Amino acid sequence: MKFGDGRSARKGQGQPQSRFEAIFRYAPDAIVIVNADGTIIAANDQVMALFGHSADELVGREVELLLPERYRGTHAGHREGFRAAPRIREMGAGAELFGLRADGTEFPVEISLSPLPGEEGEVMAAIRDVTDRKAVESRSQAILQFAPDATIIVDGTGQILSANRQMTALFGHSYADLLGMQVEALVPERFRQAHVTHRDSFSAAPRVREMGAGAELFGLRADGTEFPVEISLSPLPGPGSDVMATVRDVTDRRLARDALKHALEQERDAAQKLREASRIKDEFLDIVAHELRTPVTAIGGFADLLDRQWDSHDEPTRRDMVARILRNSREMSALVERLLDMSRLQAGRVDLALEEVDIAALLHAIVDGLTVLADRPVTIQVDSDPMIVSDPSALRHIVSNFLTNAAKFAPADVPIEVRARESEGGLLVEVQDYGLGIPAEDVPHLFEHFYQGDNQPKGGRGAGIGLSVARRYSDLLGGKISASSTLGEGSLFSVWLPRHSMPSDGSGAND
Amino acid sequence: MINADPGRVLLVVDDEDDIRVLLQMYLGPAGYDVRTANDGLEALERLADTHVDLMLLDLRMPKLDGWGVLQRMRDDPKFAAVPTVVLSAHASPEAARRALEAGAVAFLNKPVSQEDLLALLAEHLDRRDR
Repeated sequence: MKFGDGRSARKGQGQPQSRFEAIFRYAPDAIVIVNADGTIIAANDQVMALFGHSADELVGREVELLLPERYRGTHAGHREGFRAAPRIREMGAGAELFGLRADGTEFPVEISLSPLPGEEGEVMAAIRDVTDRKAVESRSQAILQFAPDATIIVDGTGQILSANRQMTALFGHSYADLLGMQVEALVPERFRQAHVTHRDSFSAAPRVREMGAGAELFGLRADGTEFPVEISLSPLPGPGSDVMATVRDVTDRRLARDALKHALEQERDAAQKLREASRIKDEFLDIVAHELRTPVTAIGGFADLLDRQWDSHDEPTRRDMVARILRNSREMSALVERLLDMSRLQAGRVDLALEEVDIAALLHAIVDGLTVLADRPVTIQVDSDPMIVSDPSALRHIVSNFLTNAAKFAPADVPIEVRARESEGGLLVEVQDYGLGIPAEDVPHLFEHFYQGDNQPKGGRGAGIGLSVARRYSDLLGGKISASSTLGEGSLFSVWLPRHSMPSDGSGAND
Repeated sequence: MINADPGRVLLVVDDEDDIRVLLQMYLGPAGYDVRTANDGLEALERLADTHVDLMLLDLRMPKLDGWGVLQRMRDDPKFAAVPTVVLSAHASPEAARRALEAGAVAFLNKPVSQEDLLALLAEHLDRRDR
């Protein structure tokens, strides 16, 4: 096929001289035929309508006449390239092409190129005015750009084809960076593998849906920070299996949700603590009742026997019974004292009376004053400046609690060791016994209120008060109380004291 | 005072020396042969080497507590026949119910009077004879 003379087109209004000329002339698209030099040798009526040139003005002119000035130079180059390897194709794939009308206005076009058979290197170009489509596209683009949510379009391989301003703002990537970027770059490293898999399965069955329903999704900003997101996916029509993804930053919503969850948890914890406190109180009352009943049984029993059967018992027996009554009543008042101590400490009604204390003298006085240590070996060793500023009464409570415990656990013939030494700018007072020891699981609880281990000798006398009181006094002094123990080898109770305790505000309770 | 048959052997198990001495003074003059044990393990030793007609058992004790003693007695037929009265400072009805379920014939709260204790022992030893 050859339109060599181009006359039919030039004649315009005349009858087409062949069937092929008729096709050329009445084709819906504007068609120009250009020779190897880039000279227009034919143009149909649609070209004239489209560009506003008459056939006379076109034929014999360089095809660049139809292009805006600024493209003409490169166009000539492209033309050369096409001539070297001619094949049917779209012109300038992916690029925006423009036509230039006779009146100087421009309009967007799409152009298909077909080399014509023969040696001459003639090329047929079909030109379509895409003004309307571009308008639609730019409206879509505008919708994309001004949509309230960050939106990207991703192709079937995960490459980002388009993104709006919200997207660049949200992720901190420039538009240029986003274009062509693999979408996985917007996902934290640890989710990337899974994201590829999910993307493939979405491509296999695309439908509008939320991404990762029920899962917590995260976006990765350019600066490496993460933030929680929700993502909606919409497959786009067309052959490319492109997907539009809308990304919402849900940081605020997550924060609100977490705050609510936290509040609920706190409420639940508070209720739990209240129940626990109530349970502990019941247990405590049970323990105190138990602790009081034992001496009451002895006191009441021996007194009753003395009352009713005075003459049945000889003098030494009666003396022994009275001694037992006295000892049990002392035990009871000691227990009552401890209960009052604890109550005062809990209510915060304790004021420290700070003074210069000679710890060596105080330790000796405490050991000498404790009846439970009366017949027991105790060693006292002070390797430090013995003078501290503290409350001697609080110290007495702490150390005598340690000693009373040690006396309960340790065999009567193995010395209990009391030591005081320099430590971390303060004074560390330790009471070491080589007794039964305390099971490892009980050690962390020793200073809790009313805690009673299972391994207590003598049926667990003590109601679990002494050490909790000791801890409270230690807190008041700004000290640190601790215990360690090995079952079968003994226990070490210690309190670290500052050189100078500070006057307390009387609140005492630190929990 | 209610007098018991002489020679009935009672085993008093309590870790408190005062309680053991008191119970001996309660029961000895009434004609009982009172033996003592300081904890659950000692109690099982006494049961194994001595004929015991009735045991008075404390619950809170070191080494092996009263619950442990009741458990071992149930597991071992040679102890099962010894009637056991639990005497505890644990006042809860729950403890009493559990003790009876565990095989005790009676549950007494501390403090207990000499009179009440003797009456209860007579009842259980008497019942045993029939």
